[in-house]
Amino acid sequence: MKHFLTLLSHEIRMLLVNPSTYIAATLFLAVMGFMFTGILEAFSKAPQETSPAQMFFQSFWLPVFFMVPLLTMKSLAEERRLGTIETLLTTPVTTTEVVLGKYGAAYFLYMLLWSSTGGFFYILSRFAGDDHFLDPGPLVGGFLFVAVSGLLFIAIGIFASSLSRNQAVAGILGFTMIFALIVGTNFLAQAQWLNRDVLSPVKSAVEYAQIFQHLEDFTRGVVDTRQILFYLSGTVLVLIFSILGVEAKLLHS
Amino acid sequence: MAFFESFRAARWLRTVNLVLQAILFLTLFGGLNYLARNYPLRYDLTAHRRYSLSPETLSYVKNLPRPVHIVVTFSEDAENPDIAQAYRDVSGLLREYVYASESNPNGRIAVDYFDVYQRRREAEQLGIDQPNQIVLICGDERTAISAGDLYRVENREKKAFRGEQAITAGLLDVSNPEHKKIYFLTGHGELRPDDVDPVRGLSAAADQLRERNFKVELLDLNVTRKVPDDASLLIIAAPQGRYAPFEEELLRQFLSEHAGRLILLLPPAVEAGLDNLLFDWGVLADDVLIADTSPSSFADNGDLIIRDFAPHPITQTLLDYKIGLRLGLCRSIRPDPARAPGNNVTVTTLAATAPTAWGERSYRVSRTPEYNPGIDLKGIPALDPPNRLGVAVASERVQVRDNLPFSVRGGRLVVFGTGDLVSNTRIVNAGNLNIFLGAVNWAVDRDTQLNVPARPIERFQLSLSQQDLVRLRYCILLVLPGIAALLGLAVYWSRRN
Repeated sequence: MKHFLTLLSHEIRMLLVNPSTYIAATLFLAVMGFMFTGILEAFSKAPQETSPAQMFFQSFWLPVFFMVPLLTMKSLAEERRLGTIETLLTTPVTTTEVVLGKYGAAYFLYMLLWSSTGGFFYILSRFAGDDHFLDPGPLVGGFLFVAVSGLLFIAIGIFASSLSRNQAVAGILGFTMIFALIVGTNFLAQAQWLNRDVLSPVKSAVEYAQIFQHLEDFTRGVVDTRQILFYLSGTVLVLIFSILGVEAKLLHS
Repeated sequence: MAFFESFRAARWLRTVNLVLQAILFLTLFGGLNYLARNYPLRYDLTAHRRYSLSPETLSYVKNLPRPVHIVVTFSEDAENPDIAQAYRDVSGLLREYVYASESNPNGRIAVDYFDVYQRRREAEQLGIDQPNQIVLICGDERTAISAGDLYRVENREKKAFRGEQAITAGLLDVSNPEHKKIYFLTGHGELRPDDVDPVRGLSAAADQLRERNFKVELLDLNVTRKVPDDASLLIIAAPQGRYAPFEEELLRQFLSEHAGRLILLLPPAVEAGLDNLLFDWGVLADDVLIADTSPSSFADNGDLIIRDFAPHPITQTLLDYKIGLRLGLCRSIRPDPARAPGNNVTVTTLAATAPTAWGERSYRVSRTPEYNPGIDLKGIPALDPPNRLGVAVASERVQVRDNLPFSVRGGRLVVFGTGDLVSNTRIVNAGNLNIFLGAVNWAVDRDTQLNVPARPIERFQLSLSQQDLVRLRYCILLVLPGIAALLGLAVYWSRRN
């Protein structure tokens, strides 16, 4: 793994010198800011029992659905389309290092974008003159959820990118997989046909993987080792699948 | 060249290898997560562990004898915002119950959410026809909790979420069809559990006990001439006259020979005729009235505020949540110094006054109380913290049998130096209710299942003028995206040049 850091720093440098990164960041912050001001409207009209941070993170799926595929779809698909991945792998660099380098850079940008939304809460507390709005439980829990779940979502995006040469296909594939994970588990958990005794292991597995429930726990300030392990082991699994996917594609190209 | 030596064969072999690796890692993922499910750790990062279940609930859920099915008919998308909020509050809380019950194979808790109108057939099968309620089902037993039971409301405003209280009480109710009996003694002018009078009534306290699956009844020893065999606990609430010697003897026998349990609320200036009983249990009730010169020891209405508690199962919640007591006229209750040690009785001072307080002996004389050294009772140096007067004491007898290698738990006695600790006006104070229910639970051996404090509801309101609100909006919409855009422009120009 000695080349991993070299690849990672190269990828991050490429991201930071690319003006399109800043366009994406500007649009992301504008959209999230728009949503945040919408939430604040509710708080200015009547007292709310849910903190602004808790409400803000409820919309985590929006950047996840759109930003994650956009950040990751290019990574491996573009390299394969241009044929540069074969060239890259003729150097003393392993597939694992390449995949992890791409993954690390995408995750870095994802977290950079999310952490910049912390500025919204700072501006809010300055205007309101009340630190109450910087409620550490939901705020720390919410960002922790974004950081931990982001590991898996970005890994899924990288995996989707490893499956196709076409960026658009990789993007749509990534979107579909993340949508299935977030909305699908929520939908399945409410399905009545899963209530049969014979399907109880499936039901408990679906309940275990319910992302919205994880979010609710984190934003209340409750951290569960099972949820963290789910994301960490899921990330490792999906990254391994990405590495195996790249190797399989190279083998059959 | 043989097929196995060809490039094609090697490629397919490598592919099979990759597929096998994928299956192996998938199995590892499944196995690891399955193990994690069975060995969970859950941390509540909030101050005061706001979203964790209380020790009382946890101990009960972990020892639940039978599985309980909880059906919630609140709707997440309800038009009424209070119902939608109740759904959110209840779903988060019930998840904690499900997690806690996972380590108990005999008494798992399963939770279902459904709309009684959409899933009418299932609702009918379960005998549920009302929306906006929580139904707890255990075998043939069932109990329902309505939305109104979930919140403490003052002036039409929700003040605290008491869902954990209601659900734990419901679990107690359905999982244990046996109701423990608490007898309130009468015949000497005691406060009565069926009295709704704000000052002299204990109806609110009795309701709290019934909510916890206790059966509350009255008992007049003058009539029955014996303590009933099914008595789990006797409560003597503020007697206004003396108990006859035979009544004291019946109580002594109940406590000592039948390992009985008694809670005694003893107001000042009353001779209850129970001195021998108290001496037997190592407790001394001084004939004094607690006086204090410190304004911080009194509430606006003149109630004495008690803030110091010794660690004990009865006071643990008060210590954890830093809740105080509000008492009316009060006497000093302390471990009897004349009582010889080593008589198998353990006496603990539960609650104590501020160090500025003293026990006024000449309280019957109508004048401003003042401390007279040598006459009045001063703080007890042996108390922890020292130089205070005790107002509540717990005494427990552990019988050591010579022929047995273990000790057998005997009776339990809790004595309060005030009469109306839990009268209808004072029970609204969380501390009073806590210590009373704590004493009841400890007395009937539910000492690890103390009562559950309600969770205060926090509200967030943005109080800004319309102008400030518009400025805040523009600030959020322009500042951070503007910084990102400027950085992008700087990078673009530097790369162009």
